[in-house]
Amino acid sequence: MLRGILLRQETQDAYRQDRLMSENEEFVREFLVESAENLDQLDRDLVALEENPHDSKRLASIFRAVHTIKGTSGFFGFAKLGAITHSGEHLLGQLRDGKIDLDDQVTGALLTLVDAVRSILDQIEQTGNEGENDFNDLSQTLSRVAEEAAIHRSKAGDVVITRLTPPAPQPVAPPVPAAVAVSAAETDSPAQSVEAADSEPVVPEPASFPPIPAQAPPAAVIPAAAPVEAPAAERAPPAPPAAAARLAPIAEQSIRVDVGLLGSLVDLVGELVLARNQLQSTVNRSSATDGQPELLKVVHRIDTVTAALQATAMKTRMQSIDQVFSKFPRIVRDLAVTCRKEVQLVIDGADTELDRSLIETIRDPLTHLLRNAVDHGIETPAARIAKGKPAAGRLQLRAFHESGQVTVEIQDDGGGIPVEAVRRKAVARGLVSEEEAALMPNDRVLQFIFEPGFSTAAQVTDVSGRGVGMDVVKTNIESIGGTVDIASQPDIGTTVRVRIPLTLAIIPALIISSTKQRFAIPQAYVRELISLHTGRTPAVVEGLDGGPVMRLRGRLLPLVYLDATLGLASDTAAGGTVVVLSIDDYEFGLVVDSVAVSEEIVVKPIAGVLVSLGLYAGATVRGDGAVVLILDPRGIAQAAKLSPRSFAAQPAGDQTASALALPRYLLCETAAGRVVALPLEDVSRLESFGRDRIQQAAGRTVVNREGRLTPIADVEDVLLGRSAPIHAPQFTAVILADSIGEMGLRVKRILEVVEPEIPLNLALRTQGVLGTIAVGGQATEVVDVRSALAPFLVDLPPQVPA
Amino acid sequence: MSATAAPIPTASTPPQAAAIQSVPPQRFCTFLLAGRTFAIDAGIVSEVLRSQPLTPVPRAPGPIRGLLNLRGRIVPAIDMRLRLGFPEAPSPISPTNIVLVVGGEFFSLLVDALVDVIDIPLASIEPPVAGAEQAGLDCLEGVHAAGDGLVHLLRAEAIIGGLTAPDLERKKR
Repeated sequence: MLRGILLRQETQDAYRQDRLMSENEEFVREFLVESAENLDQLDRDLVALEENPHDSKRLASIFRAVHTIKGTSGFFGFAKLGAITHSGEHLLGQLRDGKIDLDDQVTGALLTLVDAVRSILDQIEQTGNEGENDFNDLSQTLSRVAEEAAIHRSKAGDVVITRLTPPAPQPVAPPVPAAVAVSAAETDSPAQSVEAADSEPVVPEPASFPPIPAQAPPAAVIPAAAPVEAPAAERAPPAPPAAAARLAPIAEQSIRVDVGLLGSLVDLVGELVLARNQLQSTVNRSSATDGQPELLKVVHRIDTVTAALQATAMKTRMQSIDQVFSKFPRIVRDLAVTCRKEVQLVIDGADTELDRSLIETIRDPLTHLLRNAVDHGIETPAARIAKGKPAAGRLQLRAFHESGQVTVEIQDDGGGIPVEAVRRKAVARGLVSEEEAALMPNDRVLQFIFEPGFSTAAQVTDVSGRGVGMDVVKTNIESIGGTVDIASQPDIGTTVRVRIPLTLAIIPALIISSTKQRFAIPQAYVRELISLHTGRTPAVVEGLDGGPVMRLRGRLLPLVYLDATLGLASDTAAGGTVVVLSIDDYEFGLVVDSVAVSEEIVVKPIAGVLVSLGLYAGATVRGDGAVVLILDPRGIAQAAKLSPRSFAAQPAGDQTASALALPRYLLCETAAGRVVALPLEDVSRLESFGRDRIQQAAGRTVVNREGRLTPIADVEDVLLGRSAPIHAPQFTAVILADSIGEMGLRVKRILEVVEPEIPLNLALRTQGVLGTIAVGGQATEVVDVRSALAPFLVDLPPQVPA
Repeated sequence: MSATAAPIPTASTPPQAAAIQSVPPQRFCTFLLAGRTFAIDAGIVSEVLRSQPLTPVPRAPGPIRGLLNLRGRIVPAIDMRLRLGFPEAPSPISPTNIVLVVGGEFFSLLVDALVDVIDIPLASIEPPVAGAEQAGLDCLEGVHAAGDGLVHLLRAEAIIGGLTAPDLERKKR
């Protein structure tokens, strides 16, 4: 959506005339943008009002929206726009005063009005004027509907109640002054504007349209305010229609900012993060800071501020998915009417946020899926009743965050997709042999509808026609790194699940290396790390289909060798670490040489020709300026020809059930060289800290983690029940889960994640030790992480001491 | 944006001037590859850099030698010798990067050396002669006879667009 900050800088300008023109134009553009938003809101409100005709607040909101458009169009001299909105306003006034009831005809007329306004606005946007169509018939329709409804109502014998409530401040004169009052809100009392807008229409108006003053009040001062401020108030949260007085502050607290400007802001912050990383690694490496505590302090401060700035800047990229969802009630309503179906649309999680750049990309695919659901999924009321279902179909649209992704689900309770017809069609089109098709599970068969041009209604007689353009939906979603899945059951309905990456520009990632080249893996996909070098190496065996698998807690985990998959010349034998990755339907172990570090990376786009390889999600620049590719785990799995869900599908039998029940432990080596275990559920992540992030405060060691100070205790000290600062220039620490508390435990290194052969024996509990587990036949102490926290429960300074 | 935008004076050539000068010459960057001279539209060249460290991209089309870090922007570097079907450069040559913007994306062409920036009248550009120069025929836009030899004009879109062509895929190392 067009957004521009209205910055009028008072620069001395030689082309005064030009400027006036372009300013006026800017106002018109603002008006268009604002009106577009108002229209979306109107669509939503009208559909909602249809369901609940007595929602007076909703009606008031509709009224205000129409009124604002009317007022502003008068100001710009858009007479046709003024005329039809005026008629609409009249109808709404009748409605609001209880003179008429909302019925299909009234709703239809009002929706037609919204469409007409939209088309005039489009016209204005394209040509600068209102176009040829005068919409006289619409104005007449609106007036007629108003009258007819009133007559109908009188006939029905109802008492026509005229509302007498409107309070004192009678508007001085109709439309335009109201707009001026709204504009005055910018500087004066905001309440005044809403009041004026509210009370004005109560004045009985003639059904015919009084001439709207074509001449605007003196140009320069007021006009800016009207489009900028007033509709902002209209934009206020639709759900609980806020009291008028509460609207104004929201308007004052937000400004319009150019998207490009925000984009470059985020880019610059990304650069700053990289520069910060570089600064840190330089300071860590060199001895330049020795004897210069001031420098260290400055570096530290830059680090803190950068982290905070980064977090704030990232928030500006996020937008709620409501941007897309808000249009759907209207679309579904219109579609249902066209298809002669009854559809109840339920929207859930409209406040789910995702990156703004993705919002526009998912709009068309989701719209298409909704259309499909109404058109082909949900049956006609008669057919539904015959099946024993309620006449109205239920269409549920749900958005939620799930493991670093946004999932959007479109679920209908319609007839489902006839799988057998799809199967036959796939065979007929030569996509699969008859034998293969017969063996294929239904969910695989359904995937065929994503084939280009697979099933149009005309081609497949039995198939409901779903599949038209499904390949386009899939392509669009995949172009942003998302996925589309479909599940369907006859007469139960169809669920389409669209997964969209958050693609925050800055994400935590694991830096790994394979044949001397480094790659980044988004942390969101990493489940655990398993070292292949310790004595307790899980056996790597050949699976049934020849691919390597690893026995992991009683299940078989398929392995993918990164070097082989990427065609890298492998000079190390058998790899060093298995990174267990989980994404959608895939769970597999990626064998890499080593895991370097976990850090925040700035995701940078890569050229389209490289995206199309399907292996990389982007690239990043590390602190030393080196470019590192970000792996796309799904693409890697597909390149390695893993079959989806193979992990779940191959339980190794023997000890599965009992093995899964045992909690897992992280084995670590302490600085003193002994091996201890930490309950895995208590661990959040492993981090390395350089001297610039380590501080001594009040006799304790704390580290700076993005502006938070986290106390660190040496595991050895915890086991000895003492609290002592750590005197090491750099160290590695296991950061405990938030559920435990803000705390880290210093270890020398992580060995692996294990499942004990014997459950935790609490009898062996002592100071700092929760109990003992047996790992590889050896008794291993489990650290009591909560006791580690105890000495730190005294208040810590929440901020970095300057 | 409305069509009636405020008239902002632009720097473009006045129409009458364009009418008098038949076709203005176009500016090209010329560079060397395996002893031959090639040229690319200078209008899309954003900068020229010395040899840069590259991060290889496994499984990428052969001519993509790797990614370079252009002040935080990730730019793929295309080895023009490989792209045009010449033998790989002998190791002593450290290639020059000619950074282009094509279709909104940045690319870097790795060439043996940058020669010059010259104006070539469009009228003097002749269509490529079939058979005369097999190398990189798919990117060749035309030929210009300079004083001491031929300058082969390349089309950037074709260089990029042809990267995924099957015959180049096969040349992958």
